[in-house]
Amino acid sequence: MSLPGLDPLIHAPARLQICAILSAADEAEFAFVREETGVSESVLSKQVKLLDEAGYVAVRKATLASRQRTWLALTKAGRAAFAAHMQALTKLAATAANGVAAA
Amino acid sequence: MSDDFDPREALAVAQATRARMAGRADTTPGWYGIAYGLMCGLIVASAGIPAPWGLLLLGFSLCALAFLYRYWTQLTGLSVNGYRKGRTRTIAVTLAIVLVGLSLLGLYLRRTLGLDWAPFATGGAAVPIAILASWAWDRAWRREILAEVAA
Repeated sequence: MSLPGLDPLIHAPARLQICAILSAADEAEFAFVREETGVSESVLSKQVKLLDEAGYVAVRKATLASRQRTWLALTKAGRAAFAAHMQALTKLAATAANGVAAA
Repeated sequence: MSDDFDPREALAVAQATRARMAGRADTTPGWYGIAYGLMCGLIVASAGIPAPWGLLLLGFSLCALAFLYRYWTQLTGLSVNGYRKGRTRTIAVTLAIVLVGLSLLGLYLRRTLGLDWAPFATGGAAVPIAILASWAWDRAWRREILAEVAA
């Protein structure tokens, strides 16, 4: 089933969480996103790769005190897609609430 | 997408994620705002202090501010632009204007009226203002990231 305005790439709960985190900041560390989403490192890597391939997420590696850290950021396209997805979700939720009220 | 998809559940997932994130960002130690305020005070004072001490103080306080921000990013795992749109930008821009105004006032009072203590007074005045602005910015950011995904 396809729902109008919803982005299938962002729709999956883990990717929705990733986008919700990254859209609130300029960058977030991979470890932070993993802890906040509660998924394993390999699952997060796969989800990030999908978003990266779609041009929604940018991945940056930085070394600090001989320890490599990975930073994730939403691209401009990713921010626009997430905003549109949230707008569509809000609209659908309002429609669903009205439907329940009218029933 | 499944037929039993509930948009309210998806919104709840996004809201819960942002709420956890806001809670984690709330763990910034209290001294962070005070250190930020002190560095801003030094920057304001440095504008009115004659060279080379003024320039040295400016360089030191700018480096200290950069280290302070770096510490916050390492602590929280987040990097956030102080001038991000919303109320946070209003607070950041207002603070910048106030700090520039105080810097110019200190410089003016010292140069034109010969009040050598003026830069220290304006720098001292900038400290509580910057501390309050830092705390206000932090609260505004946490409120905003929750409001952005509210139904």
